[in-house]
Amino acid sequence: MTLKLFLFVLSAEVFACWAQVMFKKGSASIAAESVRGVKGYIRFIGDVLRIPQMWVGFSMIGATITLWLAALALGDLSLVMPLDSMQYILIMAASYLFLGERITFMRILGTLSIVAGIILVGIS
Amino acid sequence: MKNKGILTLKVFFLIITTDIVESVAELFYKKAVLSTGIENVLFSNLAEFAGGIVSSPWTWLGVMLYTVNFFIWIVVLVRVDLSLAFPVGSTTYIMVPLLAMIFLHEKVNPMRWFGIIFIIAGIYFISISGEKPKEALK
Repeated sequence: MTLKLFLFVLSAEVFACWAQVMFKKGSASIAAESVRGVKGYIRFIGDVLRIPQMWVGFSMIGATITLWLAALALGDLSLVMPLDSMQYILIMAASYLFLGERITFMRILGTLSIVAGIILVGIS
Repeated sequence: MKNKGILTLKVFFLIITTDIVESVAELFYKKAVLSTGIENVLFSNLAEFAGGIVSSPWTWLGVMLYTVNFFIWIVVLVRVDLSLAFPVGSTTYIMVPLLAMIFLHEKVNPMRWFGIIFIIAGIYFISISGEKPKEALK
């Protein structure tokens, strides 16, 4: 039962991470300078909705929600909530592997510090 | 190419905005869950639970806020690295205890203070984690 719950939450975390990678990939085609003023923002919303990667991301979010709901029905979520902080490590790894972002020492230090902080806030 | 490893004040405020909106949306979802009157979600009452959630206006207010948040988040991603934006989004974890302390005069226990300090330090490290301008030109 607990292993099943763990696997559900783990796969939910992977899908959530995947969604973020798709959103980031999709946003690459939008120029930061074009998102300015009311007209700029309206055009931006239209542009975003026309990017295929965004829709892949939306379906990943759908999968995440479904898995969380299934996990909710399986048992006590407070046991697996600390796993949520794992998301930060997954995102860092995925940013390096799939987005080619430069992960500097400071970024690793910052991310680990945040994960430790979330665990401390969570268990108190 | 602009350096996407630098956290500007504007981007920082955008991320904080998404965190505040998300906290409010979560409050709405909590209200939606409470409105179903179901305390233990099981396979047997899952359909009833789902029905209650979908018919609650709080759910739809939450979904509206999430939609707004999504677009703000994309504006953030257009400007900076995902590995920078995502961890900075952890301010939600410190906002709730700090607001409870300021407005509800709740005491924050030492363990939680340590956690808050770790998160703030982490966000600071991330904010200075960009490549040096010379390297960024390559």
